[in-house]
Amino acid sequence: MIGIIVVSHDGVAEAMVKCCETIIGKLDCLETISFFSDEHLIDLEKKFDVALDNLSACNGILILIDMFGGSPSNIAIKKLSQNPEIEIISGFNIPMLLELISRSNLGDVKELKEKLLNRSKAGIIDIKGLIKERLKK
Amino acid sequence: MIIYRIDDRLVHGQVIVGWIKNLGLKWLYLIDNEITENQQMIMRLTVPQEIEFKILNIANVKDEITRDLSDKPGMILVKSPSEILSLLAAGVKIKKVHIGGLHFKPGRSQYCEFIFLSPKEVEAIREIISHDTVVMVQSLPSRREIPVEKLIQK
Repeated sequence: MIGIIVVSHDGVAEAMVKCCETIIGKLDCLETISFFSDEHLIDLEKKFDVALDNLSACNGILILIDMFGGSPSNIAIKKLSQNPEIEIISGFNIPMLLELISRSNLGDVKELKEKLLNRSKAGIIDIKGLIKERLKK
Repeated sequence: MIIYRIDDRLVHGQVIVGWIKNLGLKWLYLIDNEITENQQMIMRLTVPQEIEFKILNIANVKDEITRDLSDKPGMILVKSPSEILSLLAAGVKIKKVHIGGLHFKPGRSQYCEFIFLSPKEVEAIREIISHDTVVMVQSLPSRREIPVEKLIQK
């Protein structure tokens, strides 16, 4: 299975994964990392190394980070420079994470990346617009 | 395959994503006499459009669900054990029911993390079991099923 690392500031990654597990059930081969304001970058990098080590038997690694340009993103890019096979998406959301349940029947990490990108965009909806559209039908 | 689920949150994330999308169910029938227009509007908006979704009154349920539904997998969803009793009384054969979630409200006591029951509901569950219907507690397909007797015998 493809290994996933969800990385954020301040416990968001853990909370969002918990939320998804309540909705769909346990997500395997998944590590979460949070970076807290009293921590040093070196602590964050150590957490990345532990997570990557835990997922070393996985068939590819996809890192999901909270936002582009933050410390989690900077360290993820550093890891990419050490291992060019890693894929990274920034701006993860719940609809994206919910797609992870079906990842066992997917081929490679690139395919999963495309699927998650599409799903996360489809999960952002203007609800008033949707209601108007449905009423027209 | 027909999944009978008791869940007082009715249509929510566990039902839509955890069960319907995850298991590829094709239809969802909600059976309820008390649901408001507004609740119905919200559900019709949030259930994926490819799912055949109906909201049925207990009185007219029999014609709808005695025709053979089992060729396509789907779910019958109710908010409490009493609707299941009404279905049994209407002659619907039910082999197994899942209690997916019955949450805290005054008059209910806790039986597990997501199951709270009033004494009346415990009685209703015993009556369902007496119809040779298996009643299991299970929030999601990936979680273990627990026979409800294990929780209510204490």
